[in-house]
Amino acid sequence: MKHDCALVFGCNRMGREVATQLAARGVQITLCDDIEGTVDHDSRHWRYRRVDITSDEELRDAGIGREVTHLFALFDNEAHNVFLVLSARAMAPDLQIIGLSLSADSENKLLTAGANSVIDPYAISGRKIFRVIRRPDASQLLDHVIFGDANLNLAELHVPPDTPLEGRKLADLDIEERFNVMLLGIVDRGRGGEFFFATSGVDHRVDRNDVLVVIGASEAIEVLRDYLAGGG
Amino acid sequence: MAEANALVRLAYRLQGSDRYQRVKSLVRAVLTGQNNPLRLYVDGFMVVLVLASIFGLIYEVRHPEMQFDDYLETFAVSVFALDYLLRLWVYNDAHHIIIDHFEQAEFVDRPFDTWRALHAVFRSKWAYMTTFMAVVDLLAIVPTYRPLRLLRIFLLFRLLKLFRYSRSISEFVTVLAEKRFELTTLLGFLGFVLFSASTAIYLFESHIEGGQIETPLDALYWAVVTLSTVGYGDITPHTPEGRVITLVLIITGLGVLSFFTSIIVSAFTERMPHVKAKRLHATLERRRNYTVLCGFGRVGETVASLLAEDGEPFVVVDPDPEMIDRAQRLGYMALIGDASDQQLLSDIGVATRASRVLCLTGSDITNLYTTLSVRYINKDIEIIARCDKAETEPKLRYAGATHTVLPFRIAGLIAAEYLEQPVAFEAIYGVMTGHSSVMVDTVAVQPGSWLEGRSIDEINISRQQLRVLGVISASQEQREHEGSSYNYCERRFHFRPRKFFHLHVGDMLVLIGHQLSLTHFRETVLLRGKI
Repeated sequence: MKHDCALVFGCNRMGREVATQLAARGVQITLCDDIEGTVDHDSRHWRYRRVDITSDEELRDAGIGREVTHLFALFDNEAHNVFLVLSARAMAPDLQIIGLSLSADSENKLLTAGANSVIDPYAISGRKIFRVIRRPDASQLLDHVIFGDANLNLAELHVPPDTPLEGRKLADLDIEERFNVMLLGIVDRGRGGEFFFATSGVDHRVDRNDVLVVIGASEAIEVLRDYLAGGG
Repeated sequence: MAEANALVRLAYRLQGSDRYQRVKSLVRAVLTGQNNPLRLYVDGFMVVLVLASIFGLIYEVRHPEMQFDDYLETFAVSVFALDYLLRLWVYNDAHHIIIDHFEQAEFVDRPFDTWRALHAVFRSKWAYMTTFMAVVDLLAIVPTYRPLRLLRIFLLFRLLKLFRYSRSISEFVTVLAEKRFELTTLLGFLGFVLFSASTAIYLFESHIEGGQIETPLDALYWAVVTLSTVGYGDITPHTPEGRVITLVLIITGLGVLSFFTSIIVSAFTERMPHVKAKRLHATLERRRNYTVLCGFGRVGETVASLLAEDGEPFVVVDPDPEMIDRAQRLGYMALIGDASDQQLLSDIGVATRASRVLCLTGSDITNLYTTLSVRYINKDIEIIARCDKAETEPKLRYAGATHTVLPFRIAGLIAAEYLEQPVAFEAIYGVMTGHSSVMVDTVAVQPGSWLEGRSIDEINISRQQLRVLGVISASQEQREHEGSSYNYCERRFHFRPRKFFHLHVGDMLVLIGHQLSLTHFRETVLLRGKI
């Protein structure tokens, strides 16, 4: 996997939580705070830095437009987040920007400002609680697979450009039986790059740059990854 | 002494007799039981009887010679009398009182006082006889004064269980009592005006030719009719003095009426939140298995809207009136109050009728305290608590939360997952939140279900565009043909079970597929199970 480098803005509970989770996955983290922010220190997981978000120069110094691949705008203040997202988007069109939304209508503002994705912890928790109520077993299992450190994992596999499988039908490959994984779906470049669930009953042709989403044991997923690259 | 002995022996005989107890408890259940099916018929019969006797009364006014009506009346009165006596009988157990007295006397070695015992029995029965309903019952059967039979309408109240609305009536009385000072002032003023007006009109009009006021009662009647702005016009003033009095009286009447109305209206407006809360309690009392949602912030609101969409009953509790107002505008049942208040919790049925409590406020301290209070009054209820700080989670578990939800932890995990594999995450997140039409759901293998003992191959699920992600089994043992399986939360998850994997009772199929397919599959399983 390519070396990720993330800037996390907002030295609050959310910022620290995201920084911790990302650091645990080996992402290089810089935790940034606004100029008026509370003084924090470097830790084992991240570097600390103070950035005046109104100054483009300081933002550029922090690495936006260069090595930074992801930016998290996690200030408690909605206006700060929107400002940061807008400035960063202007500087780096390809940057992955994720914003924090704490009220119902800030999501749209952040998306308009140029965020790729918006996280709303309260709405997520609300839905999660509802899932626990309605489908306790399914919900627990999925959480286990996705977030837990179970043997089962969710993974996305990118079909490399030089794959020997190009043009073969998915059904012929019989990936599920051979590798003991569950194919959840596929991003089919041949069909406009949309995500299709495997249960929709459409057979897909494997093209370069397709993305397969599978659930399976970590080893099985690694074997499948090699196979797609032509090594299997 | 002999009759004292006989009385005590009789009391013991009744105490020991199974048949007596059985009959008495049956009668009690039929007359006063909450959910007795027989009671419905008995009450229905009584309603018909009451209506018939009232219609008979109306009919009699014009046709006094009707024979049939007398029979009906006799029958109705006997039924009512029987009902009255039976109610008196089952109200309490007289033989218990006698036995108690006898045993007390034995205990302190004193002679048994028959009269004192009988007096105690009578006192307990008298307590019933002087209750409002019992008095009404009695008056309804007294045959001497016929118009008194109208009181039977009150029987309808009891029979149709209209007294469960008596709380609203008592609420009305409380409202009036609160405004006692204003109302007495007004009443005093009113008395003064009526007295002076009727005296004046009597003085001016009683002696004139063609005047309509002849007695002081006429004068008072005229004053009240005029003051209330009803003004029948059967008595009108004939002298200029009388007309002036009328003018003054009418204008005063307008003032008095509007003052009276404003007192009542303002009293009710002040009481409105209280009345609403009472009504909510009354509504909740008839429900079972609802969810109590404490804290109507962003998380609470999201959960509430999802629950409402799903048709799941719930009640919102929040100390902030603004939040409650918002919840009520959205059409939810909502109550202002502190959810850690023991009294409030038992009032809304947390100890008995609610099946789940959600503690979703933004303060970990409040959530913990609420969790503890709820667990204290109900050992089995499901509690889902939110905690913003990870350190609070074990404390919440210790306090008795069944599930904990950490908004920032989840959001952090989601952010990390999103960064690593956006496509996979987007897909599964849609599945989890129900944003996409594809869902993951479980189908339990019930005893006697069509699924029991079948293999994965036999279920042939792929025809319905469904796929088996796995099977969760209650026991941790390995199974034949299971493929790979993992221990998970004290159960075993069989991932992608092979074709010949057989389902046992208690297993849970985890399926992925379109919502329609899932619903269809559930229906098929149910249908086939019945054949």
